Amino acid sequence: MQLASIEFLFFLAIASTIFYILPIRFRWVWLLVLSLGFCAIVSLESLPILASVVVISYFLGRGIESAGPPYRRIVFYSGFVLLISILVAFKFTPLYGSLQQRLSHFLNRLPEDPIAGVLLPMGLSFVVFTALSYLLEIHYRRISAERNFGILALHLLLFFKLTQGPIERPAPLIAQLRHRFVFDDIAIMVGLKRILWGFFKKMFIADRLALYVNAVFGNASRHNGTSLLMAAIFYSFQVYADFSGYTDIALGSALLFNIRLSENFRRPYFAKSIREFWGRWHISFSSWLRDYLYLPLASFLSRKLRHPYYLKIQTEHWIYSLATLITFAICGLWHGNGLNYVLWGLLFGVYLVVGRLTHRWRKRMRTKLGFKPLGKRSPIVQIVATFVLVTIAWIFFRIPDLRTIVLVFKKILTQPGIPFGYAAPMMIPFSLLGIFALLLLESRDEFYRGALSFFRNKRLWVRLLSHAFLVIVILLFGVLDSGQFIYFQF
Amino acid sequence: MDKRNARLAFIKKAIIFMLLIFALDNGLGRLLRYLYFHQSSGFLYRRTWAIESTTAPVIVFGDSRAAHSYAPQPFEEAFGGEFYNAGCDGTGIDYQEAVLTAVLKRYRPRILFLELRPFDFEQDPYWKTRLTMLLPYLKRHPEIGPVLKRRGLFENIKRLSQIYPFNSNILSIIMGNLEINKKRREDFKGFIPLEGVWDRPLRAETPPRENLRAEAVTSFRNFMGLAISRGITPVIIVSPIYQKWARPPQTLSMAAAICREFDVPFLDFSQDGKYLKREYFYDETHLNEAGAIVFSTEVAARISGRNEDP
Repeated sequence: MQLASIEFLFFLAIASTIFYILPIRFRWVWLLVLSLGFCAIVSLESLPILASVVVISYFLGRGIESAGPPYRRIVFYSGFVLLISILVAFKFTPLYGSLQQRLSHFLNRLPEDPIAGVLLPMGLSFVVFTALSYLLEIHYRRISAERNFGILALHLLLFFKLTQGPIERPAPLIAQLRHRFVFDDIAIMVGLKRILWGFFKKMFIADRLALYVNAVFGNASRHNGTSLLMAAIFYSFQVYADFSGYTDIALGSALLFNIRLSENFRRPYFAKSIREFWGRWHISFSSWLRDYLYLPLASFLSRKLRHPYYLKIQTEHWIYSLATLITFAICGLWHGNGLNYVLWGLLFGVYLVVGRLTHRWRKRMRTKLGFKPLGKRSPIVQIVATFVLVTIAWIFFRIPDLRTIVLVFKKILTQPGIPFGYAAPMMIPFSLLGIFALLLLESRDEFYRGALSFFRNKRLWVRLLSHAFLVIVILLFGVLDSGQFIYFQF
Repeated sequence: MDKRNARLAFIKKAIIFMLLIFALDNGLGRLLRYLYFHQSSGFLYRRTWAIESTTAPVIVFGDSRAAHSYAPQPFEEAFGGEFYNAGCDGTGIDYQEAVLTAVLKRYRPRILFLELRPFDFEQDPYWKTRLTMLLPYLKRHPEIGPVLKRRGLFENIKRLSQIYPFNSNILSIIMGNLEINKKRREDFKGFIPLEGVWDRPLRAETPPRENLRAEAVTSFRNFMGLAISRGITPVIIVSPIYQKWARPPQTLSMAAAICREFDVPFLDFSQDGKYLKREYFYDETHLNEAGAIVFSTEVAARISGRNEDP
C-alpha cells in the first residue's frame, strides 16, 4: 500500500472515522495500532527492525537522561553508534535482502508487490534519523526523555510520515501526541485539500513525467542529446512533484487526525542560489543536517584549526568547505547506496564551496568587466542559473552508473536532434502541461499570493467546483495504478 | 459555531462535494464511453474490433510481436478464409485469455494462433496494469470480469467511477474519432507492418533464471482449455528474435511442456537460424514488414499442411 493509492485513501477513511468515534483518551492508542498495522501491511519484514529502533531509542533516551555527567556522553555516543550501525547494516549490506528472502520462503510467497522487493526496511532512514534527533535533543538537555513507551513509538512510527518523512523533531510532535486529538473540522478540511493536491502532484505531474524520463534514461545510449536534456529537465520536476506530492499526502493525512507536521518544501525551484535551494528543499532533512551535523562539525573544526591561515587560505574558508563537503557527502549516502548518490551530494557541496570562495572574486570581475546590474531581471537569471545547477546534480541522482552519466553529459553537449516522443506525440505536451500547472501554482504562491484563487475563493460553490474539477483531472489524466506504459501506445 | 453544528456543516459540504464529483464523473464518463465505442481508427478501435466485431475464421492473439509479425495475405491464401490479427501492444497472457473469452462468446474461429512472449510467465510488476486496457469493455462483456478481478480487491470500488476505465485515453479516443489515425499508421486487418532495418550486431544473451508468476501459467492453461473446449486446436507460436540465447527462457520450456500435455502444436522460431538476419528485423524483438511476410508464409504453410494431413 503506497500513500498515493486508493487503498491508502480507504485505509485513511476507515482509520479516521474510528479515531473520532473512540473516546479521546484512547485515540493515541488507535493511532499506534494503525501505524503498526500499516507497517505490517506494507512490509511485515520491516516491523521487527523498526520496533527494535523504538526499543533502543526508548531505553537510551531514559539512560542518557538518568546517567551522571561522566556516563551521559558514553551512553549517548554508544546509542548514536548503535542506531547508525543498524542503518548502515541494512542500507549498505545485503542483510535485509537475505532476511526478506528467507521470510518469503518461510511464508511460501513471492514478493510480488514492487515495494516488497526493496532491499531496505521500509522507512528505516527516516525512523533512524527521527530517533537520532530524539536522542540528540535529550543529550543537549532541550527535552526530557519520554516516559510513555507508546507515545515514543507513535512519534517514530506515525504511519503517514513513515515512508517519506518529514523527519520530525521530538518536542513539537510529542507535545501534540499527548494532547491534541479533538475533532477540528477546519483541520480536516485543510487536510483533505492537501491530500487532493498531493494526489494531483504525484499522479498528474510526477508519474506523467516519469513515463518520458524512464523511457529516455532507461536507454540513454539510444537517445540524442535533446531527448536527454529534456529528460533531465523533466526529471527535476518529476522528483520534486513526486516527493512534495507524497509530503502533501502525509501532511494532509496528519491533519485528519489533528496533527500538524512540519513543512518539507517551500517552492525550491524559485530559489535564487544553491544555499537558498537547500533552505527550501526537504527542509526537515536539510535542517537536521545543519543542526546535528554541519554546525557541530564546524564547531569541532574551529576548535582544532587554530591558525588563521592554512595553505594561504583563511581557516574560516577551510572550516566552511570541509564541514560542507562532509555534510553533503553524508546527505548523498543517506539517499542511497551508490557512488552516484555520494557524487550528487558532493556536487552540491562543491557548488556551495565554490560559490562562497569565489564570491568576492566574482564581484570584482563583474565590476572590472563593466557588467551592469540586471535590475528586475536579476532574480530571474538567478532562479534559472540555480535550476540549471540543480538539474545537473539530479542527473547524478537519477543514473546509477558513472559511464552512463558521462555519456549523458557528452550527448547533451554534442548530439542535438529531434526529441524522443514522435511515436507518442501527446507524451511531451502532457508532460509540459504538468510542468506548467506546477509552475503556475507555485509562482502564484511565491509571487502573487491570493491571485487566481479559485481554490481559496470566498464563495463555497467556486471552491467546491474547483476541487471537484481537480478530482476529475486526476481521473482523466493522472497515471493511475502506476500505469507506466499506458501512454506509449498512443 | 458549536461542535455539533461544525460537524453538521462539515458533513453537508462533504455530501455536496461528493454529489458534484458524482455528477461530473457520470456525465464525462458517459460521453467518453460513447466516443470510445464510436471510434473509426487507431489502436483502441482495433482492440474493440477484435473483441466485438471480427468473425475471421483465422485469428492471431498476442502482444506487439503478434501485431507486427503476422501478415494477413499468406494466411488468407493458405487457409482460404478471412484473417484477423488481434495482437495488441503491451499486453500479456492474462489479456489474451480475457479477449479469447469475449471472442468465443460471439463466434468460433477455425484456426487460432497465440504468439507467446518469450518471458510471459516471469514476474512482471505491471501485469495488473496491462489489464487496465480492458476496463472499458467490462460493462458490455461481463465474461471478462473474472480475469479483471485479479487486478485486486479494490477493483470494484475503482469501477464506481465512470471516467476511471478511460483514464489516460482521452486524446486517443478523440483521435480515434477523427481521421488522423488512418493517415498516421495504417493497419491491414490488425497487422501493423514496421518499416526499417535493425542496424546493430547480433547479441549473445543468457536469459536470467525466471521467477515464474503462477497467474500467468494459469492464464496460459486457461487459454488452451477454453479453445479446446470449443473444439478449436490452438497453435502456440514464438516468433523470431534477433538475439542468440545460451539457453531457452524458462517460459518457453514450460510452455512447451504444457503444450505437450494438452496435445497442442508449439512452434518456437525464436532461435531459428534462417531468421537471424538483420534485414528481417525492425529491432531486436520485432520483425519488419519483409521479415513478417517471410515468417507468416512459413507459419501458414506449416499449419495448413498439418491441417491437410489425414
